[in-house]
Amino acid sequence: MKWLLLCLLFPTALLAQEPELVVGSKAFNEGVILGEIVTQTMRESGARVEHKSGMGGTGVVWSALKNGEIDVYVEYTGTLLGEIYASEQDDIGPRDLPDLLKRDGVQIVARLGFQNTYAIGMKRSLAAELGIHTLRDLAKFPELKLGFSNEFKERADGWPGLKEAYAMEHRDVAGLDHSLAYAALEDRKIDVTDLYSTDAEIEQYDLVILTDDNQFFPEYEAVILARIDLNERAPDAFSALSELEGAISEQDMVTMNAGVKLDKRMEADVAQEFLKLRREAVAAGQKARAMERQGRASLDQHSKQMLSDMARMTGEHLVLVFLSLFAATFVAIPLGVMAQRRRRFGQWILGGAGVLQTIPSIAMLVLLIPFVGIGWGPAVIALFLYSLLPIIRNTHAGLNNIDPMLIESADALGLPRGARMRLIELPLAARTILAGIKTAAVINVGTATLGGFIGAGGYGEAIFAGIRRQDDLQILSGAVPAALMALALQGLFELAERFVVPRGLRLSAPA
Amino acid sequence: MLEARGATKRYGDVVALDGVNLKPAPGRTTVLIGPSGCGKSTLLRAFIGLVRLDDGGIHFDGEVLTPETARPVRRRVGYVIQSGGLFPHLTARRNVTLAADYFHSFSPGPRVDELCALVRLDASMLDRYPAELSGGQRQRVGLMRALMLDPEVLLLDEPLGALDPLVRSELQTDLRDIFRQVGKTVVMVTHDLAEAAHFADHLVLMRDGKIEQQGRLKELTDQPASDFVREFVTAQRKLHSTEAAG
Repeated sequence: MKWLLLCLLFPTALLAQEPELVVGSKAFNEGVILGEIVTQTMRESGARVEHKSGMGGTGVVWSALKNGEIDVYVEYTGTLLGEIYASEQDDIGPRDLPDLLKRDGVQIVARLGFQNTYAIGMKRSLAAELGIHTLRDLAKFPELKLGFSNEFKERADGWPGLKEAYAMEHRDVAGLDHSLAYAALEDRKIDVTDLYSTDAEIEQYDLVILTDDNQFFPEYEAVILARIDLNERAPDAFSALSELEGAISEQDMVTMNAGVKLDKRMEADVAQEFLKLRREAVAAGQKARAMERQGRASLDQHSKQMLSDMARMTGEHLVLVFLSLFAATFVAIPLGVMAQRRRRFGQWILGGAGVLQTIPSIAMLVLLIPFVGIGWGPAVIALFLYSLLPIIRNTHAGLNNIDPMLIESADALGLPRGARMRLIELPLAARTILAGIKTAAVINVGTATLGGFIGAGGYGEAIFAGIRRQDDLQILSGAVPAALMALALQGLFELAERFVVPRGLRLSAPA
Repeated sequence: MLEARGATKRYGDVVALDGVNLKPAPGRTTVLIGPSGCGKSTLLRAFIGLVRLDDGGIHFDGEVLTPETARPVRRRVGYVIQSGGLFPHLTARRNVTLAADYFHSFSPGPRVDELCALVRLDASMLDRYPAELSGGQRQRVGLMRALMLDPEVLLLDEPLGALDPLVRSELQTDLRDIFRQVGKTVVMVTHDLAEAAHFADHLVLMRDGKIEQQGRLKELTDQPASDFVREFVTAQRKLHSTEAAG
């Protein structure tokens, strides 16, 4: 008991010594999502982190960081230069930022890899049709209709500046409300509009952002800001954060914004999903690089990898199926014998096994998780439970269907009950019992694929990965071998019948 | 040695045995006869402890037989049923030697050869499964199985019932010879008076769970104890004369 308490308290005690870190975020979707990404990343490194989400505008969050009320938040370089340090001399640029920040006890931990800046976008289909990728390309098509938000159309750093920077000669330039611009694009009332480079609608309306070749728009690079002493106070959390350098592309950010704004998902969930995918991608990249080092990831090697995966999954699948089947056979045959000998008890046994059978397999697996966790353990237990009924029922039926005359003959010979069961009844019921085991085996092969759902391995791994990635080929790479295995087992059992079922029973019945 | 004393058995409202007293003569052949449902088979099965009597009892060497105490007795009693009751999953030989093997009583080889000669079965048939044997051969194997442990009593329940007439008459002759050779106490059930007459030293005519009359065939025909006995005997005779005429 004491040990148990100690074990429970020990990690908590460790955590309590860890500095408590506070992350802040600005009050808009992207700000909160990035706050969550930062928070979860640091938590993963073992830190205890609180996220004060959606604190307010730039001013509020910046001063909280400067005063040390929060330790970390995500800001844009354009905002730092244009708002926070706007009062500095005119010619400051991104290069000066680290020094400026240092004066305020702040540092840049990582550049996340995307910008949220003014941008010019158009329908992907139209851009592809005309071959427009950049703003220079756009200048070559003066007949296109432009529609800008009124603010952008008027501001010096908006359309007038852009027009001059790229020598654009478009005459059809409309001012319209930003919220109407997307619908207008859809209806082809306008061809081009202004937007923010990480707007959720970019994904929704399938738009492309034209590259700003002349770097007309100011840089609004997303950076993680932290207190200057973070690397000393929480070195693990700091290094985890610095690994986010370049981790988020514009496309990633658009997708996450769309997840929150359009799909109404929680920021924390969206952030968690992103981090999970990133970990998988990093792991896959490492694996691929490792393979490349091993000797060029040739097609040959790829197919070798696939073959060894297939062999591994086949092995795992067979273990799942046979382990459960053997265990079930050893339990179910005696239960079937008891069920046949004692009718009342038999009803309970058959009823109980029947009820087990009605539990949907996914539900059964999920129900087992609290007791035995995940992996192949619960899968084997579930398959074991499913195998019981066909074997019990067939044992019971096989024994019940024996001609009473034969039982009487055995009794008349003076054979004790055990000998009668072993020498006469079980051999006579062998064919039916074997059929029950065969049924259980074939069902098991199918049901075992659900093991992929709880990390039990086997063909289900390929099937579930395929479903997740919407990769039909991968689904088939699990489903087809499973079907073949079921057929093979069926054949194997028919072969086994020759050995298990006495020859006398396989002859045609006496006339 | 074997005796039924006031043996009574009821199946619900139906009385299968109603206080039957019978002591089959040792070394002789007793035939139980009567219409369907008269209790003759129930009595035979009671003799080997396959029926739990409601009243009265079966005595074997002075011991009362119950399904619980019957097991050692059963090894001293051979039992043959209508279709032979052979185990289909075992060869004829294994059917014959099963009990001897199980009880390790003796090396069964010579005994099997002896029995083959007795029941006039070609020894090569012993390696066949019951499904590969004819009805008559199966019955001969059944008889070998019953005689294997050299029982003191041999019980047969309609042993010829499932056979076609030709095989039946051949086996009838053989069986009588066998009974005479082994000199055992034989109790046999049949519904056929001619067959009964063929085997019986002593005839027992049953009706509704009771013994209507017993004795030699001549006693039954000449001095019928009741109208039923007269009718039964006459009806059976008519049947046989019609068969002979046809």
